[in-house]
Amino acid sequence: MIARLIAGLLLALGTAAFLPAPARAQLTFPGASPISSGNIVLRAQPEATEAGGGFSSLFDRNVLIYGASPDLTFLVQNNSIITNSADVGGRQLSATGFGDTLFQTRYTIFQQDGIGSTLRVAPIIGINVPTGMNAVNSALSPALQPGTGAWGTRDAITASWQTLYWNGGAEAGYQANSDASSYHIGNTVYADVGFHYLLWPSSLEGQVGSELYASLESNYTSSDANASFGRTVGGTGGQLLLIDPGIIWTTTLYSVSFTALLPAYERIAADGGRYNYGVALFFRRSFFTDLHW
Amino acid sequence: MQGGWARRGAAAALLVVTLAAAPALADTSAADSREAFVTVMGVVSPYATFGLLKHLSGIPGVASVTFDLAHGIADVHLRPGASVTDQQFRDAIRSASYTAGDIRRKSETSENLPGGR
Repeated sequence: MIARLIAGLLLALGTAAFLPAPARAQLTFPGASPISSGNIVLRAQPEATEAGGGFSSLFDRNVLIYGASPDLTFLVQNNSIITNSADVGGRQLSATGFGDTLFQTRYTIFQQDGIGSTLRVAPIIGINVPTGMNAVNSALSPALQPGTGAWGTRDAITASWQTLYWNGGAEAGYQANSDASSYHIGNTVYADVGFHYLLWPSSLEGQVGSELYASLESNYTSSDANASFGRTVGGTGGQLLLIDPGIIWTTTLYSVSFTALLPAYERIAADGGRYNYGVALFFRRSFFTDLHW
Repeated sequence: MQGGWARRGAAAALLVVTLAAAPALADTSAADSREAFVTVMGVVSPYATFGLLKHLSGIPGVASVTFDLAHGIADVHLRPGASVTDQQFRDAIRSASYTAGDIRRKSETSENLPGGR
């Protein structure tokens, strides 16, 4: 029984690096898209992922975006309710609670606008604040708790090239994590690319009220191994490449999307810890305030 | 002597005419017009028009705004008697994070603009 429990724990540690932070598709991030000053965007993104060994993660990623000036945008992301589950020693254990909060600042450093097109580049800096619950279920590894308990930083560069009929975007970044209770979740390099193609309407003459896009995105993650009390935790870290086909419905006020998160390449350290699939819904609504620069 | 008075009179008249014309010259962009067609660059989708329409409709004197996505033109209707300068349009578009292009006016007496508008 103890052996099965240990085996289960090792398995849990093996995939833990991927479950709490699955793909950040462009749908989950605005890239370098224009955000008007005073524009407030609220976004909710329920997401579910499933991996080998009975691991699953279900959470609601909520994002608040605020255009402080034509070039400066603030983003606050909180993984509000997280349930991470794992099969440990034949028992299905889970940890449910609130996650961490990521505060990010984006500043557009390059902007080239044309009629019906825009090319923008923006660096992003962010800080992960350990607002989440990191000791919900002691039978699960620290990386499977809803919150990491660790401060972190995120540095990225993002670019978007958008036209009336297609949008392309890319983002590359690095997330560094601090230790929390002598446990360190491996630092991560990530790279995302996305392409959206207008399906409907075929004509954009006059005032267009809504549009339907097909989307195809890809997310690459390379994580260092986790460490506990300074020693590398076996079976952690690795690389994961996801391909995400999806569909987006957007209006002046709202956007809704559905995206599948499918593994294309995996080199995850743990045996049996393969990432199987994920799905993400996406709701977005715009608001406006006169409080801005 | 008479020539000197004549020159002074002419200069004074010129000054009066110039001062009278100055406000009109400085604000020709806000001349008699009830509708303006403002080219906006960088707008690519209905979702992207949200902030733009908010900023343009927030200009005092603007009654309504619609946006032609394919041509990147905002059709701005003004309230009767209202006056909006080109700079007000440009500031609003910049605040919306976009780039302003040409601004054309349709006056109350002239119904036709280049391009069939």
